[in-house]
Amino acid sequence: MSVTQSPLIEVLQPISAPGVGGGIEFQMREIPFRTHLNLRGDPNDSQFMNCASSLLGVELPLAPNSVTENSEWRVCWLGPDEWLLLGLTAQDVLAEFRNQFLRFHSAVVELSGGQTIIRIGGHAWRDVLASACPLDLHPRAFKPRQCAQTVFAHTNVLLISVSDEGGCEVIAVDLVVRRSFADHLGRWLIDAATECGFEFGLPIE
Amino acid sequence: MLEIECPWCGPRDQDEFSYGGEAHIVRPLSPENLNDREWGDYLFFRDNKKGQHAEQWCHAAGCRRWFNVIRDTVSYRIVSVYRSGDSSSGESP
Repeated sequence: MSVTQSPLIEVLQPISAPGVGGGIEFQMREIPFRTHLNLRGDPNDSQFMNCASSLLGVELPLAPNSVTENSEWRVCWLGPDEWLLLGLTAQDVLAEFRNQFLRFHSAVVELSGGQTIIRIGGHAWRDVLASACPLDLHPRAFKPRQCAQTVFAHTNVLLISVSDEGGCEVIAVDLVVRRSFADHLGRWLIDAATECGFEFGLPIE
Repeated sequence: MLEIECPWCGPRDQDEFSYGGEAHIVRPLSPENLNDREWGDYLFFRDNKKGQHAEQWCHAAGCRRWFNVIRDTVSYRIVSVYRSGDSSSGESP
């Protein structure tokens, strides 16, 4: 009998510490157990693209580092012929997707058990992230509905912007990280956020 | 540290890239007809140019695509960046 276990299993109750100024300006929480699928295929094959959009209910993004989403799926551009499909719940769709995409020169790989998401937010998220990430995080460069694969603290991560309700401003970022690096990343974020004060909340169910 | 413009992702830090050596080295069409010196030249010997050097880079921590860069080996200035299969002037061959 298998048990589903989050990579950040140690966080059984919220951890928090006020910063130098006495405030808490950085929040982080894990978003575990979502569906992560890697999809590869030819963007010039219109039948493949149509098949993907009818299965997901949303178009595959073609602009580099952009994201499309609906209420069920968030689709991130990873390369000219590669996408990450993030299900908002733990959906069991691999078999169906494989069947559908079998008709094309394509590949669907299940990554759900291999990576997790850490959502970071609060006033100081840019400063904390910039402590170990070379990406330009200025609002002019890192906008809503964008994603970027980069390195954070020597770890490969995918950053996905989370915007406010109006979709105008990036208020938080989802870090998609390999599960064996999640603990390292969590500890590094806590260390980087000590100065501004942090709260490491319970996972988002 | 270099800032390299990935043809897909735009300007990114050198940390995200891996270096792939000199670009545009063509594998001999019939290796069985080469002598050891010619085959050794193809495998191991590179130009080590002073000045503008065509080289391959991979956006390893990003979109994982290979592309070509013309870089000045004296000033480290990147003169141009183009996708694999394109020529340095940006046109497809």
